Amino acid sequence: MIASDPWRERLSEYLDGELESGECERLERHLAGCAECTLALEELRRVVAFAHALPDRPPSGDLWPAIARDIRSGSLAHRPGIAPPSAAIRRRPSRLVGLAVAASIALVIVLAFSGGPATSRIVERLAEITHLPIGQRAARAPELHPVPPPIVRHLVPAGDELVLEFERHQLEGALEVRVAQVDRATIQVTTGGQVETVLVTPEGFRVRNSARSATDYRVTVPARLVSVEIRVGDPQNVYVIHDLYLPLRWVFGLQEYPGQ
Amino acid sequence: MQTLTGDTQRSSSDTDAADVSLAAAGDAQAFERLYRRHVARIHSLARRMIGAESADEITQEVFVRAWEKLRSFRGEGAFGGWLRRVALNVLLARRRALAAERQRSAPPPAHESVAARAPLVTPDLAIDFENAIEELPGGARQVFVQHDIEGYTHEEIGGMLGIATGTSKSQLHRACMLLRSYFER
Repeated sequence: MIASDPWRERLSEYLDGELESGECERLERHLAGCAECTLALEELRRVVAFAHALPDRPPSGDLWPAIARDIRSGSLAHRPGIAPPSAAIRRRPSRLVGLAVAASIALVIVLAFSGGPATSRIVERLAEITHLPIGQRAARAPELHPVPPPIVRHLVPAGDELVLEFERHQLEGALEVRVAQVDRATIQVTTGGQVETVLVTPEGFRVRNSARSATDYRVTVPARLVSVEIRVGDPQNVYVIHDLYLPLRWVFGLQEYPGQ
Repeated sequence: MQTLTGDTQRSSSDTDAADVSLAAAGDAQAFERLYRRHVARIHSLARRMIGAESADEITQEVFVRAWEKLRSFRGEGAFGGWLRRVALNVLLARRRALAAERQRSAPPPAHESVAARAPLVTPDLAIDFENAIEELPGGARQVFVQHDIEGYTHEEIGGMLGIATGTSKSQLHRACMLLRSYFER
């Protein structure tokens, strides 16, 4: 029975990265054998992705004339007082807070962020693996990829924005990237030394590798992206990243990750 | 890393800062420009938190409040963030009154199956999803919007709504579990 599964109640915390590592491991072991929880986790992830991708919509009518009238007349003066905005309330930039990142294209990553014990552990673990070739990182630090299949696991989180590097990858044909975007309207795409700003819609966006670049292809997207689909050449060769609810920098080289 | 997104934001912030200075000195046209740039964000927040029927009124009040309090904005952060906090204070102040008003005027809706009122495939999934959010129970909706859309922490939400952090987490989980049926095939 769904309601009787104690792990089911912890899935949101798991998605938020709020479980302690021991709990994380136990939940992941449970996920490996529980199709219901795995399905629930996938659906929760989609909910979060969709929530982050919701576009802002203006009001159907223009409210400015009424606002201008109120401003002129000072019409709020008679209304009950409303406390001024609290300086203590700060909007998180993403689902994990306080992450600051610097990363070189050589994948040497320096992290500095504040957070709880879980994030501190991530920092420590990242320090242990960032010197390694990309292909060895996932094997050395599998806990940084706490997502069950079908999620691609060849990823290394290391920052507060997503950087997908396609260096050294021989791109053949069109490159298509679809992103469930969160709260910014554009992403940066660099290919062949050219920088392009791509408008992101709620349905995602499409990037064509018009430069046919075999090197220096980079997509930089904001932190609150939630899911990304990358299709390179062969339609079967699809990379799917769902766990970008972690506001971390994901770096991977397609050449070293031929897919699943 | 320098990105165009960052440049765009910085440019927008610079523009906001200039208009904030002008508006704080009484320039209504500058304030109108601020309104135009931020109204969609504020209206969406109000719609998701309170509901579509009150969103216009709330948005209007937020901007009038912002005009009145503009001189208290010290420019230490982005104007958009400050404006959102103004909006949240207005929304939270109105939340209880609106909830009581709704209870008087209409029976509470059944909420345990969002999917039943939010079909999976529609011409506009985003709007349907927004509708599904509006169908959530009040507490779960408030937490979901503030956490998963606005990006506040459970601790911040607990402080704003006057609930325990654990309650905020459980409300978020409840909201997500209800909304996940939206994606079930």
